[in-house]
Amino acid sequence: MTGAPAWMAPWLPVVAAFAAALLTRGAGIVLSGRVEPETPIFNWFACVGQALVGGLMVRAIFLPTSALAETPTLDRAIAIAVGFAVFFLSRQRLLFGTFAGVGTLAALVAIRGIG
Amino acid sequence: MSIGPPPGDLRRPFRAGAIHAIGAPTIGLFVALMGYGALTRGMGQEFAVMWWAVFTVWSMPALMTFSELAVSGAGLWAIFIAVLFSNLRNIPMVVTALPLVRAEPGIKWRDFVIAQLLSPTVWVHVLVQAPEMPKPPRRRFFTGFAVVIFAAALLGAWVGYTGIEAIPSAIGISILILTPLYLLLIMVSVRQLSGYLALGFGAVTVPWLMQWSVDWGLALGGIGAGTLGFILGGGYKRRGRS
Repeated sequence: MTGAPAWMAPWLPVVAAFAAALLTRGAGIVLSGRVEPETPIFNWFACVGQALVGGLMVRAIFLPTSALAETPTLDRAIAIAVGFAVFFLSRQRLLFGTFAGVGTLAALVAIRGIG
Repeated sequence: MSIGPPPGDLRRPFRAGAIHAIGAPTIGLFVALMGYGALTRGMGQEFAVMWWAVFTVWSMPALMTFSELAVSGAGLWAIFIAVLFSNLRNIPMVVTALPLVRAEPGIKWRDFVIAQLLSPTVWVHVLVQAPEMPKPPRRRFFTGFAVVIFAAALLGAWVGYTGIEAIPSAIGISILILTPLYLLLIMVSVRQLSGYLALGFGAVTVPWLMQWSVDWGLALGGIGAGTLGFILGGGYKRRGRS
């Protein structure tokens, strides 16, 4: 890959990735110094963050690249629906909603004999 | 744990934040990184390289990109550019989190600590809970919160790499839904029309566009959906967290 010693070869990609990660976080720090909470530009950044993270989470559930792909989409949809239902019925208790969803999927996986 | 003022003694904010993280946030990240550790072992990546990548990059999309490219022998510039794009979501997260945890104006070295430790889980908690807290203890509270999550993730990566076979498959598979479900539940607790709309538009457009291009789809989908939610939800009006 480069003329670097062999022992460095697996570490250079880590350095490249770290530099890229540092750049985005550094850009965020510099911009944050100019953005006050409760302003339109702050709201815009928050909206973009919500869209990005929300989209990634929906993708992780419904278009997974992990072992979750072994489960039927319907089962994942049922688990999410149960999680949301329990969350709102329990007056927005996060742990109740989260573990109701996970438990539902585990039960469906066990019933179907997946894995 | 419900959404609202954080529990604990805010006279010792670091400790209160660390305790507040224990539960679903730590389990979620532990499991997510356990999956990543198991995956990289399957890919044939060295443990030390994987673990240091988690330590330094600390972002799942970027880590996945890194491992895919590193094991396939991609060049350093290709890795740099790909990780840069898959890490773009960090910019709005850092821009919105730091002003909420700063007690004094200006950029401090401690900003780098919070920025480096920031993950979607930490960010969502900052967005929802920081405005409910007095300003002075916020930074230490969320640093404690983030440190515990980071430690759980590093532990999860190690457990996943070294012992994934020992976990029953039904539990191992279904627990992968924990983090995305948990974060979605927190995000629907942010009572802002513009935030709801951005989340809804992003939930549709980001996964759809990422099927076309992982990096460009993420960036374009996020900016487009976020801007649409911002405009339609009236986020441009200067009225606080609209």
